[in-house]
Amino acid sequence: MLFTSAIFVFAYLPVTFAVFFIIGRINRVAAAAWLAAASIFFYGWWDYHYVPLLAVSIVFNFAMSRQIAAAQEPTRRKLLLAVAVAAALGLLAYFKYKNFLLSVVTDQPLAALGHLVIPLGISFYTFTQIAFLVDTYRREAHEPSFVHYVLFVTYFPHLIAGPIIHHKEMMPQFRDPSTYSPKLSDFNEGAMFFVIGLFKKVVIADGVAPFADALFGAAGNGHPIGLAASWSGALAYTAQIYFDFSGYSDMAIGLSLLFGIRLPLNFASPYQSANIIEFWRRWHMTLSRFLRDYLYISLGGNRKGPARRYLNLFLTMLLGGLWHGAGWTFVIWGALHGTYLMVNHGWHALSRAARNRPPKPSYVGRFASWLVTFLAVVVAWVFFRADTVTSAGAIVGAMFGFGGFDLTAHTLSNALATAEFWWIVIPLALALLAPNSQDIVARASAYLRAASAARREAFAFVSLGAIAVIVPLCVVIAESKASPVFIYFNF
Amino acid sequence: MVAFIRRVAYLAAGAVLTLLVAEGIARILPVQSALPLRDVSADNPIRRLQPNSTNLYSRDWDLRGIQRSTANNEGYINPNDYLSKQSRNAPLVAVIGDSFVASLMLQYEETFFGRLQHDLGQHRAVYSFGMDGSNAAEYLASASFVRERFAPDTLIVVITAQNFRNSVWGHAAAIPDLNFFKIGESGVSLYRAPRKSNALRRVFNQSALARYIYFNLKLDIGTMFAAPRSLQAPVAKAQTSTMPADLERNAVHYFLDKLPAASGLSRDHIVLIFDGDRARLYGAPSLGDPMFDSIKREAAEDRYRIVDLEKAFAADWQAHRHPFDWYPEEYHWNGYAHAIVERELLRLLREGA
Repeated sequence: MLFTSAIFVFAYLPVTFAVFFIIGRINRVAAAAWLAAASIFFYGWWDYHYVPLLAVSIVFNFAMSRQIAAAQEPTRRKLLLAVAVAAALGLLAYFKYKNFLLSVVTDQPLAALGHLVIPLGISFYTFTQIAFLVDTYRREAHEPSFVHYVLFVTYFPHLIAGPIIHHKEMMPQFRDPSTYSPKLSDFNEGAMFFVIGLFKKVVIADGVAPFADALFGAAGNGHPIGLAASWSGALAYTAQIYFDFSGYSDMAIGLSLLFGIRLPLNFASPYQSANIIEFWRRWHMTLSRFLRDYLYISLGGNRKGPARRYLNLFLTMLLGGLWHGAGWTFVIWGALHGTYLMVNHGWHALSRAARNRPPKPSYVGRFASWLVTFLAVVVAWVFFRADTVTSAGAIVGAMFGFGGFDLTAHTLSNALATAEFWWIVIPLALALLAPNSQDIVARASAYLRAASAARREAFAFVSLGAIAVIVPLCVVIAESKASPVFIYFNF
Repeated sequence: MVAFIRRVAYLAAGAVLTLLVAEGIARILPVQSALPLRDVSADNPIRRLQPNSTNLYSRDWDLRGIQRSTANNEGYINPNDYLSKQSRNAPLVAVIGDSFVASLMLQYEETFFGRLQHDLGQHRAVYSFGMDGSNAAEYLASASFVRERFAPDTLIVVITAQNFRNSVWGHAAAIPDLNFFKIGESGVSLYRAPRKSNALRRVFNQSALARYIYFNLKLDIGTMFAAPRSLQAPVAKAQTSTMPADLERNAVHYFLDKLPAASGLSRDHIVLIFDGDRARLYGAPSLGDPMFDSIKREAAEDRYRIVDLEKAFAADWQAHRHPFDWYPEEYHWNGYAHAIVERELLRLLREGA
């Protein structure tokens, strides 16, 4: 069930919402159980065949977390953790990386091994549970309630494509009695997030997508690619993936707020970043947090000297790339970002050594820094999106002029007359200059808090009236499309 | 109670304001226009457009493929006015069809009849009688109209997958003023669907937002709540038919039997162009009519002249992999497909010459 589908918005959501708060008045555990059951139904709607896999994964990991928590002997605890993590990763490897590993071992092209159907959300629920297991081992987590654990893993707003949640921010909310009473302020805030996300996905991301698809389709078919086409297609994808994924995250956050549960933020205007370190603090923030806490630090972080720190950074990003998909394009994307981060940290270290203080660039320097960062991200997206390394190479080559520098047919006046130009420029301008979703919602909430009760009521209900028109309109737009899925459903 | 009423009023105000803003935005965008239909009457025996009326085509939610067109003196989308049989010197090739012939999404020069007119030059006139929503029964009525008014020497009928499946009264959407096959115990007859009050439709057509939702987004409440959508390759929404096969067979027999009399032409002066199942060529679920093969066979046995696009499209796809439409969003032929249709048609016409 897609968040943008009619069945979700007009049937699943109202029923789940109403029953949750009705049961919540009587029994909070039963309400949590209802939400968990509704989440599993939501998951099974596409393909119920993978529900048993999800169920086995939850039961096994919960049981293992209990065993780890109960074990006193450090060796036994470590062994139990190793078994649980290996099982979780083994499951992921089997379903997601089987063909990739086979292609590496047997030297066959990946495409020759056929299309692998990946259980929806497996990467997300595996990571969520690994974090829980590791924190149980570190004595930082303990969850006695199976119902809350099931809800934590399956909670429908995050189940398919994140944000990757952490037990520390979720379990207290499940235990909080006030969660089970509806609040108009949460509802309003959630509805705002949802509408912004819906608009980002349905109008902006899907609007710019055909221009990205045209470039990557042409490259995949081996057609020659020019300088202008390569840049416009790569920039189109840069806009598409941001609005698609941040739109999905906004919708997830908004939906969760309707139920009075706050999910972590996932994006904070990442394309405004002045360096790649900042980019990763603003892009897919919950994945960055997971990679830092459970991979980078586990590899030794910065505790084992500068050389090892750079290696750990590189390896973390490489594995982060592989997490997105089983293919060399993702490996290269991860390696590029790993390299970017090494260069960025190295540059900072050099600057600090030279000036004995952290670098503080001028406006021109900051603009140059932003530009280099943005272009580096755009180049990396080409590998992320392309079907093969060959087609990615062809596009990147064309971006750097290997397909020629002929721009005579691409004058500014010609470009201004095309829909493509505006479909790419406007979303990028929004990503670079406009406030992000949380800023908009925070400003509206601040206004509401400061306003009189009468004005607050008027604002709340007038905006709900507006949302009651915008949401169905966006749903009808989404339903009119042949392929309305989100990019991150593939991961 | 007062608080409740106040809140409902706020909700309503928010909704109405938003609707007004949306309507305002839709009005400045190139939203598809409603076809300016002319009522069927004694003076106007067939469903067509208001003469010289203008039309704006755009498709999908993002208003792609914008085309503006004007109906000619006879109410058909064609830049040339049509001359009656009395005032015309050149022999006439008449092309009857549905939206595939109306071709609102193309320039006239891109259509197969536009190309045909160009290639045949002044020696022959090529008139197109394409009307959105037409079916096989309407084709029979159109053939009579064309015969009486224009007396063609050659008739070309474009038959697409929905033409027979949407032609039996009681088993297809009852489009007002459109002819259907009424199949009863006494046999098959033509039946014109009654006209409904146009008041609501006129109001609807005035709203750009309503037209956007209905024409561009193709709002279909039924399919919105249907089974889970595919997460793999995009697929066009399937068009299903509830018509039993024996009824379709009756409709086909009747159509093939009556077409010569309706058009006033012998079968060897009638060309039936059968569309191909292009979706299947793309590796997608079929959008064709399962009975097409038997209809083609029957038409050939009846000595009609046939252009089988199934074969032509398949051969071209094998060689060039060039799409024939905008599948999955828009399944009408694009200019490339029209060029193939004209090539096949010319070949057939020259074989017979």
